[in-house]
Amino acid sequence: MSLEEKLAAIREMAKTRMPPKFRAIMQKGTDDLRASGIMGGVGKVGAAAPDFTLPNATGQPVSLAALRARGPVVLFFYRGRW
Amino acid sequence: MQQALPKITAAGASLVVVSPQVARTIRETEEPKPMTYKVLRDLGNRVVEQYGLVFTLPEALQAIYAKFGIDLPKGNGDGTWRLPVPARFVIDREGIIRAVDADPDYTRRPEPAETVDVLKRLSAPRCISFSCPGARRPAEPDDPLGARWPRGFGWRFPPGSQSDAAPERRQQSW
Repeated sequence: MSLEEKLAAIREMAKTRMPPKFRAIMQKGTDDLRASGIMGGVGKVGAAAPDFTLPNATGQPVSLAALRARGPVVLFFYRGRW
Repeated sequence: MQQALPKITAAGASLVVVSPQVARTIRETEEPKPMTYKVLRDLGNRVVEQYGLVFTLPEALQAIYAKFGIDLPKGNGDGTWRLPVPARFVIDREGIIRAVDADPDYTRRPEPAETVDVLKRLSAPRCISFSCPGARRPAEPDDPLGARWPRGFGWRFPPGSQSDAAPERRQQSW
């Protein structure tokens, strides 16, 4: 099963568990965000990736420059799971 | 993500997750498996902002999250309801963005197989000299390129300077 198929199953399950009022507000939040034009400002293919140095889970600084010196980097941005 | 990780590392790439949440919160929300990818904390969403992904959760949603007991300003550690649009970038060795996937709908995520495909394309050897395996060698002695360029190496560097680095650079993508 692909990730999208799994996610679709979770979305279906959420529909039955979440009150319709909440779902409507969440959907509006997503739609408004999409309509806000934010996606136009997201880093583009072919552009330079802004360098950064951030602490890892144990507080050690990790830089993008150091990571990409070893090979390509797959960089995810997550809100965190609650 | 854990499932795709072996293929990502096999392609010579590293996997990094950036989240505004404090480290303790990140650990709590991780799967109970050993972490083999880096989770970096972006306090105040500063890097998130640089990548054009930051937004503030609308007030109607803030109220719902609060009802579910989710204290985002505390988890963020900066008192804000700011979040990243979930996104995945593939960045090559030169720091150029080679693939982007971002969606305001946080229940949609890029297929791991797509990420692996991008990495495979990136790591495919692109030859700059006739020494690359499979590349056409100039026929000797009358091929004009073969006469002008030394066999085995397209570009020559002074001994001891960059010549050691040159074979590795052949593996890069552009």
